[in-house]
Amino acid sequence: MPANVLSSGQYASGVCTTERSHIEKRYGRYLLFFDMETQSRGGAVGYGIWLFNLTLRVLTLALIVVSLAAAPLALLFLTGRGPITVPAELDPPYRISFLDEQDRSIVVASDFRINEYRNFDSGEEARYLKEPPDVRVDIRIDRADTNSRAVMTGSALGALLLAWVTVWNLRRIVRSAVGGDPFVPKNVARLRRLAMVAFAFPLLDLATTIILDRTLESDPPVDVIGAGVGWWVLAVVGLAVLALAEVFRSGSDLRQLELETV
Amino acid sequence: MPIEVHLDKVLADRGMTLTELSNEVGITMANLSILKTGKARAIRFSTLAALCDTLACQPGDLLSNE
Repeated sequence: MPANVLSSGQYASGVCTTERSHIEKRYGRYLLFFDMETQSRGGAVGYGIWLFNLTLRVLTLALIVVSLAAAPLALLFLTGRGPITVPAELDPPYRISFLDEQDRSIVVASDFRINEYRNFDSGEEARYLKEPPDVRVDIRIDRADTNSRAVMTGSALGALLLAWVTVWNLRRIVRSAVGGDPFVPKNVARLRRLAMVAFAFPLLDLATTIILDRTLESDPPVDVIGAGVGWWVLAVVGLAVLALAEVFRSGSDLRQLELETV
Repeated sequence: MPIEVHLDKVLADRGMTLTELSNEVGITMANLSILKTGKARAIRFSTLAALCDTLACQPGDLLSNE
């Protein structure tokens, strides 16, 4: 073998090291963002935390893209150029009729777009309904309704901010876990922040719904439903994260005791 | 902390430095520093035994209650 040709083993270690050094020098700051430490894969940390870390990186990228689009989109919506629809429930009175004799669906006719049909079993007719059915519609916010548009835009930006807080804190928690030292007081604070975010999402939804009910001018009147954020689910998630924060607090205390034990 | 550590005094009596003790006992300088400066919240029996063996002393020579 010629002297200047390395064996395969040497090639794998020698050239790769040189190549990585070159990559690190040139793209080091981007690598820091991606934190591509291959020894993490099943080496220093488990595959679970590695996969979670990777998912968070992808989410961060997606959030960056959404955030970059947020400002121009917000401007579009506020100036009345973008379509914004709001889910709502139609309040009576409304007219109910059948499409045809074979189709047992209810068509709710009103001045705006129909978006839901209720199917009835064969033989059942609308006039036998004891109560008006729940009819859900999508309200397209009028161009001139700047108040409602501002509320929707503000709510969307608020949700984006909460998403950033979630991803930001999760990434730092996972990073500390990858580093092998997750039980630190900062993670306790981060988990408590995540719990607050879980409680904040439905509150934001509720606030948006209440304000939109007042700003939306529609005839016939409607009740804004909102994004349909699962209150109970998020409340349970928030409580679970708070409980986890207490676990981490105990772990942090034990870790500190261990550090101070000779 | 109500428990006082007299490691300094014992080392001085035996003419030993902290570095030498660290090498003999196999405890890091950082941990010995924590112990010496009274910042330790707990000491393992194994550590105490190793110190006493190396310094040829009793636990009471190293520790006292205020």
